[in-house]
Amino acid sequence: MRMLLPTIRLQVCASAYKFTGEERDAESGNDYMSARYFASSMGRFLSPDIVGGDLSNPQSLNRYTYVLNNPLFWTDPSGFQEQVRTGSSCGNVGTLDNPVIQCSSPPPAPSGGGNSSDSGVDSELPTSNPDEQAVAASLSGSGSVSAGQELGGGLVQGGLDMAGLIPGPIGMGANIASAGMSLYNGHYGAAALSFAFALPVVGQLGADAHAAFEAGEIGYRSFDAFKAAYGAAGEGMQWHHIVGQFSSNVERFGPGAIHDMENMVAVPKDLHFQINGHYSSKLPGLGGQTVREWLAPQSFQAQRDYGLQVLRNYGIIP
Amino acid sequence: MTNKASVELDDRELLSAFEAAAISFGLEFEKGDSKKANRAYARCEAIQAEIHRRGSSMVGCLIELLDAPLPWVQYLAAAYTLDVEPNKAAAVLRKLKDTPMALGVAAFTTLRAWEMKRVQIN
Repeated sequence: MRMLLPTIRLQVCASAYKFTGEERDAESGNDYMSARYFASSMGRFLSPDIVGGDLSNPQSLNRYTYVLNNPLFWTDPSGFQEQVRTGSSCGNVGTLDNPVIQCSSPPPAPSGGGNSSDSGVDSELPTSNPDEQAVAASLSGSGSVSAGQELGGGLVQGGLDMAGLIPGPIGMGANIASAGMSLYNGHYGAAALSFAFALPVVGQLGADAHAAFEAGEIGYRSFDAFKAAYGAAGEGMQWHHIVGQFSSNVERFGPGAIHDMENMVAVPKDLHFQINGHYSSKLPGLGGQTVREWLAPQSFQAQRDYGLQVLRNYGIIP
Repeated sequence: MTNKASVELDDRELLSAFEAAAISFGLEFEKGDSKKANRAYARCEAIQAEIHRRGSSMVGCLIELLDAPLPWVQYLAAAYTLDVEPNKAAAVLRKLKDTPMALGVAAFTTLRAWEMKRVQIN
């Protein structure tokens, strides 16, 4: 099924006013969004949303993401609350810093599943219909995991994390239980840190490390676990691994390095198809190998540099 | 033109076949259809091998294609003359790598692979 996709056109913009028209700090490269700074290089806020999330909308529970991971249809000038992009009703013109949308469908509702159709080529589910997704997942055997499908779900684990703040045996028990849930769900970093919290001696060290995990500095066991934590890449978008998630890379660099926010970028579906096709193609000079085979023995950094250059060529990043 | 075996083509037909295969490769690569792109690539490889087998005059014709009007022909001509005309061929690839999308990526990749080999040799 060929979907009608938003088209993003890019152009160079030298103005200090960048993403959604907000001012960019020339020194840090971050955008000032009233309540918080937005790191455009990472596509996320540098501090958590103090308003918090809505249990009925899993996307909102990640307090560092920008507008439910759907900047094509929402904007957040206050840093507190997403709102419908004014003038985003198709055909506008803009840049990566000010994305321009040409679309043929209305913006999704900000609640629940509006952002749930991630289907990276890595785990392709080319439909936004949950029933079709379930069938596709079962046929492909990929079994995409949603946040709600994880052991215990976010609510229970959130309660355990809160209980973990209680000093003494109650807090220690809660942290151990939370660690077990994280381990089961593939969040190795969170599991280790919850265990660390259970030990009184680690104190602030554990808190700092936990913040690092929350900030996405520690990756996930699998792409499904990553998506369960971060949700879909956004309407018409797919997550793309900058350093590919092929088996030799996972073995050499570890799943945490591959399925990590630092190694992910949201890419329009049609471009993602082309980019993946590029990696599967043979080119002169590669000794008869595909690009992916040629990259495989190279270092993580070399592969990352290459992946970033590809994204630049396709206009995904500046 | 049908995919007649490269050895059966006369010199002029061989160069035309190279251009056609280069365009076909570019179109499929741009679309992201790696299967068709790889088939077209195999055709390019076979033709360029035959061009080199026929000797310097045909290789000279391939070098002339560095100035071809079609960028995918330029790209493949450059890729296959890097060893015989490195300065000019690399200059063409450097120019093409700044092209947006697939062509830029292809030129960048071939150039990078060639530079990596040179570093290993030196």
